[in-house]
Amino acid sequence: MNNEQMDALFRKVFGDVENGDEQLLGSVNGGAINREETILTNLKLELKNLGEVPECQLSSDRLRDAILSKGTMREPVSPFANWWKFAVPVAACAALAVFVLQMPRSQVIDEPDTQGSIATKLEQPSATLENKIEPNDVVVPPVTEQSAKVEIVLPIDQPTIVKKTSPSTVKNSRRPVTKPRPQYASRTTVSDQAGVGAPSPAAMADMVAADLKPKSSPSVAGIAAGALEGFENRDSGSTSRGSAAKPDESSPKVVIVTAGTNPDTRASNATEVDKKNVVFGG
Amino acid sequence: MSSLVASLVLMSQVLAQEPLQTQPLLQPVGAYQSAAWASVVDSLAVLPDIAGNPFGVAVLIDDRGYFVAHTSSLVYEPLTAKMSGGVEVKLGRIGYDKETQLVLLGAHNWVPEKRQPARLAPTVKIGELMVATVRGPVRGMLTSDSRPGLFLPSQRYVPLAEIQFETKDVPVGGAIVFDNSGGLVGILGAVLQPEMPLTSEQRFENAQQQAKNAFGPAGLTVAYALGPTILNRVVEGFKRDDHKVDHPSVGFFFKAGSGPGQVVVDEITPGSPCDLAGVKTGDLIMMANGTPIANVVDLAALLFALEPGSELTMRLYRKGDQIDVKMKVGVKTLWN
Repeated sequence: MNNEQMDALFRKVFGDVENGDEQLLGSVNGGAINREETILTNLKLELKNLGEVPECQLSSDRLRDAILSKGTMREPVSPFANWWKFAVPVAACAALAVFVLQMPRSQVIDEPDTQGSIATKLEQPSATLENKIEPNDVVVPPVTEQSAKVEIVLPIDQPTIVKKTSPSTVKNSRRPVTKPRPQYASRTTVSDQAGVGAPSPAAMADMVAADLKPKSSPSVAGIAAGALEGFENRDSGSTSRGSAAKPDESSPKVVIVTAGTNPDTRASNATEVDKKNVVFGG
Repeated sequence: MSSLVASLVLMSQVLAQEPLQTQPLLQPVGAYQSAAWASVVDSLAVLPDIAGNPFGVAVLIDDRGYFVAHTSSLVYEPLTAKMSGGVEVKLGRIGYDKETQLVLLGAHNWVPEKRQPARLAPTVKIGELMVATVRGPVRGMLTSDSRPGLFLPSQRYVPLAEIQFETKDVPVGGAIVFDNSGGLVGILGAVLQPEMPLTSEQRFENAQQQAKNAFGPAGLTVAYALGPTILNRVVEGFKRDDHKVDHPSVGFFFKAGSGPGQVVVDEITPGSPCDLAGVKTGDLIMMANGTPIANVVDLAALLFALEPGSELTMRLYRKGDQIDVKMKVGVKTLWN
């Protein structure tokens, strides 16, 4: 194959066939032209598979051509252009949320199961056990403040075991005690850090119960069960509040009285804050 | 034109203040008339502001000429207060309790046995009360006698009496609270602030409107008064020769822990009884004086009820061990 015939074959493979190319290629041996055509076809495929040209090899002309060939930038598409695609899932989620919100709140479960345990779900915060204390110095586990549902399982038939959690390092990010206390509203407690390594509520209940066990005639499990029963009935109104000196625990809020005077009321401002977020001084 | 507008504005302000100035002092607001008011009105003194207008109220607690008022009732001192019958008395500060923001005022040239001091009621009952404001008595309703309160900046727990009453124009700050038998049961110190709306425009408009009308939900003023328990303690301290009030303290700060019912020590005051007894920051307080501690309010109420000089035992939980500590309750001013 001479150069003209090779050029004609190039044009044929790359789609730029000109008049007379067929005649030039017709005079070539069929085996040779097929072999060359296969090589050029593979070359064309490999060229197509080549990646982008490295930036260092870009010339301004090629860059201009590339920009011109790609045309102007496409107009940004609004994210709400295809809102109808999300309408159905959103409506389904909304319907599910309404359904869940309208469901009646789960009731307290108090059914001893076959394994002899009592499962109690606590729902309300600031509940108190003190009104449910029976005579004989019945012990109340300090399981009162609970904003989320907590399930406490206390064995009845098994002997009480005082659980002590393994000592762990108390991560303390407090300021030095010598630093003066800031004069602003009660600091929000970092509850995630407070009491790290502390015993679980059940363990604390067991420890307190074990401490006063000699003075109490009923079993610790029975005491705890009675205390937990008090949790269940805390809203029934059957409990009687103690003397007026007892703090009002009907609300988990603490009234914060700030310093200074409001010119409109000529009194200090009072705000209600959840007692979990208050630091008391004593 | 501008001078005309300015004069109109000044005139409107004068007219707006005129009813307050012409209002007789300490006359019943509305139809409130009772023997209780007649029995206490002679023990009240109206404290003026700089312009001489009625601003606050003080109550006579001792025949030596000792008056108690909330610090919000005082604009300046010494001052000349007015009592019933047009009697003027010069008052000056002789004591101050920082924890409760109550002020002890002493009268100059006081003539004993002329006026009956207010009688301190030991307790207060839920129900109707008589609130002696600077404009006179108004009816109030005691809805709770033991709301957990926290005074800043001391962060001291104080049980508060929650009182609700309708007042559109009467400032209630520093008002004196009596029961219907004329017993002194509290001094108003704070008013609950309503929750502001979210948007800034509504916040501005509603804040102005609420400032003109009243505070509290639905136009009902919710105020908090120092109840008879803390008031008795303060008055007893004021009556002493040094006019000091001893609030019990063991020198530590505590807060709710991460677990339910946990109370954790937040800070120890150096040199305090807690510090000397070995209480450490991060300790969990399980029991105090043999009483299981169920939450922070329980412990705060227990500490509030202690007497200085008494003994306090606490069971602590520290790194897997239970520790018993014992200390003597002191007075906060000794180490702070």
